[in-house]
Amino acid sequence: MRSLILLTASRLLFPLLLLFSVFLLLRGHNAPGGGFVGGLVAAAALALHALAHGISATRSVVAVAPLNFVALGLGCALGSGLVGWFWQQPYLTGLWTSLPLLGKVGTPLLFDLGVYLLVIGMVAHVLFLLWEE
Amino acid sequence: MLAVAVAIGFVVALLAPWCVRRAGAVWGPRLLVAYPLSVFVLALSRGYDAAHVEAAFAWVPRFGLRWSVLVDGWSILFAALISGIGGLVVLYGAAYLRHHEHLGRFYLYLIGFMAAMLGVVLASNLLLLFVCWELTSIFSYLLIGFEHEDTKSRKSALQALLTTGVGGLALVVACVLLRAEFGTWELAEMLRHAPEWSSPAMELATIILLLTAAFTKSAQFPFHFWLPSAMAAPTPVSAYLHSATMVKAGVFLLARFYPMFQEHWLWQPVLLVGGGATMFVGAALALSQRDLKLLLAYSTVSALGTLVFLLGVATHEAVAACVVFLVAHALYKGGLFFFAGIVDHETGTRDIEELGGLAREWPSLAVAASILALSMAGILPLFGFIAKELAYEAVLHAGLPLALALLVGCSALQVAVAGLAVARPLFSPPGSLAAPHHSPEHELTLGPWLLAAASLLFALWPRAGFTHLLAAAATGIAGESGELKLALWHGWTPALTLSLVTIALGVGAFLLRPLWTTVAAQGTRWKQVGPAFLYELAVSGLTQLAAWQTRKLQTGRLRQYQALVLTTAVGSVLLALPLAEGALPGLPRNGLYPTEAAVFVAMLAGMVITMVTSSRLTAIVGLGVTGYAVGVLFLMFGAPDLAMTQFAIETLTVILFVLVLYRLPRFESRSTPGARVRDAALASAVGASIAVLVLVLLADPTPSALAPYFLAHSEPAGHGRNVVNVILVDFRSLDTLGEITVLGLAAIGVGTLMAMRGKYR
Repeated sequence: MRSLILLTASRLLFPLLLLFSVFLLLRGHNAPGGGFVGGLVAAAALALHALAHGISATRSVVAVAPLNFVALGLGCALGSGLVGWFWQQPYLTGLWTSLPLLGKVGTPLLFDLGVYLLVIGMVAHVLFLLWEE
Repeated sequence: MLAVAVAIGFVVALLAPWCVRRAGAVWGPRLLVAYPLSVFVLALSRGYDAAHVEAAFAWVPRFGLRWSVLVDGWSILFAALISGIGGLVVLYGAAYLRHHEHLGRFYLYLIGFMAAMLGVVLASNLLLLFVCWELTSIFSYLLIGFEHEDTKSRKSALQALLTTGVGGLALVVACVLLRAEFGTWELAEMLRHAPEWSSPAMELATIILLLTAAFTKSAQFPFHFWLPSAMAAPTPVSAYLHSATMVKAGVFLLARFYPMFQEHWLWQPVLLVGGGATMFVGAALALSQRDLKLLLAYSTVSALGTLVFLLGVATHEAVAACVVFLVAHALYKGGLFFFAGIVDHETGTRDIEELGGLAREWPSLAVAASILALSMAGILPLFGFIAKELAYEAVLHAGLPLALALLVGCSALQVAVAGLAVARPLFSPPGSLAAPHHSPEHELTLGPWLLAAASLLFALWPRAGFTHLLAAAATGIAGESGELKLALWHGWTPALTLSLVTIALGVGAFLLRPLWTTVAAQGTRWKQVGPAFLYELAVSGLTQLAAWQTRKLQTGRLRQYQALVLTTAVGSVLLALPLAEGALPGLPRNGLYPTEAAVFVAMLAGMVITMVTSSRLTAIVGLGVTGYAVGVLFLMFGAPDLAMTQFAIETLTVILFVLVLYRLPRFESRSTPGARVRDAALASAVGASIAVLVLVLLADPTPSALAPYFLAHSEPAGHGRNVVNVILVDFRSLDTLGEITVLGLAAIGVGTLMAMRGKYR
């Protein structure tokens, strides 16, 4: 049962929602947002896509198994803590630097990216499994 | 240097499997001998006359954990024993286990144990001592269970681990108490100025804990049962860990704390009674054994009892006798275990009733074994004789007649045991078993020969530099230097008379053994109430308790889990409420805005719909309404982050719910009215307790230091203006890391559950 309204809306909303989730992730340090809620929004976008196009279409959009996101996210978060070791800092010390174009970046951003990816992966994994039952 | 040598041992242990694989089963072990050999030379080249701490390096500076080494006669003597006998065991093991598929693994454990044991005896830092102490227990576990496909072997390994593990726990608490009292982890500093203890209770607790650690490790009564079970290990391991070194760690520890505690009222009675009981029980049980290794194991228990007993006599003479006896025992018992291993290896049995006439087949080994047995029996002119004479003299001079009688009696039993262990298999007429017609390999006979030679030489030339080390060891224990004269002939002394009496009694006991075994057979009934039985009871009781509580708590029913978790939550709030200061606060009275009222109405409406509807979809939507209303509430009270997350979560929850909707059983009223009342009561209790909790927290007049701290430091330290996010990803990022790890695992768990669906019912 395909709904034309849903299809059209999702075509517009899916990229917008994904963009919004990245926006939430990036602004999170200074304004409401952050990796966790960003990840949830992205996962909600995937759910919308699946509602409109069917789950197999969404699977092919995601391209890899969602558990990979979980692993990648955990790796980012764990790895962000290791950076400090090169400057004799304790594990998970936040380090910041200014880069051209990007502005201020730091290891907490990498950590938040990890949270973001992990949340997407986790929700998508459960969502896909339940959907395909 | 010695600290580095210990650390290198662990590296060598890790390289051992590779070394055995590359160099082969013959040359691999020969290369590995280089480690114990170099430690042996290094240890003896230290100046050990005056106790001193060797340059150390920090391991975990924050906890005060350092590799510091306390060098004195006592630690060096032990290090020499560990590395010397260790070297022989490495060679012996190569021949004994040549065709074993896990030879590399054997050397990993063995060398690892060696390094850990060196750490125990050399450490000045109590934390390092504790770490190494536990490592010896673990390596002992691995080595006893080396034949891990054998159930008995695994069981014995676990028994040894649990028993010595109890001691390890006692030791760590004792170490913490000592640290609290002395303000340092360094043993050397504690011993240097043993002050008045701040409280007698603390001193008593420390002594009891240290005694527990030592008694379990050194298999003292009533913890002696694990040592005979540990004979499931390959014989080289029994020779090394369970007679010459590890089981002496308890004695080592007691001796280390001797100057600190020997004047305490508890010291002498516990050590005399405990050591005496162990000495007697071990010797008496040894005599009724048929298995050569068990025979030696029980006599080791007895010897360990003697060592503790001598420390309990608490005179300088007795300490010196303890040191000499320790060395004598390590030499003859290590050698006799080697011998037992050869017999087992070549004939395939260790039953002394079946063995006989081996002297004809292996004349040279028979000479070595006889020397070792004579040393064990304490007969001229061997080192065991000197040790026994010293012990007799010490107890005589201390004026303890009852103790002396016990010591003589147990020594007599040891004479009989020595006869059983060696004379029976070597010289009795050949039994039903046909003896093998080839001699054991040289690598097997090297150990017994060297140890027999040492037992003879140390007795014949006691002045050959060796007495000096023994005297230094006694000084290291007692803190004051005394004279140590080792001589085979003292003239006709009371001790010599006692020695003759001992030998006469021992020969008598040997001849009367058949009678003894019948008595012992009658006594097997007593096993049912012995310490080993109590151990079994405790272990099986623990597993039964675990099974019972698992059955009760893990019912597999979601509703019961929820009920349990929620009841616990309510209960803990109720318990904590009386701790809140002042009276319970009332409801705040600042009125309700119409907007707020509208949100509350929506929330309530959602709840009511969920409860009364007969359609599951409606119930889910009702829940969603309540959730969104909560989100709006967050927004109204200035928590946009929370509100956003709540909205996203609610959306996804509703979607997930809808997805599982059709796989759930039909939505009908399945619970009885009684259960519904109970659930309603529980739900209301949860809501009420959370409300009370919030009110109490809000009424707390003391301002929290956290909120201003985070507000002030968020931007300068965390480079972010969103305090919530800065806390999550910077200030408390370790917490977040834990949480997302749980999330990831939950995802995997859900996947597994889905995959297993329908397979288990």
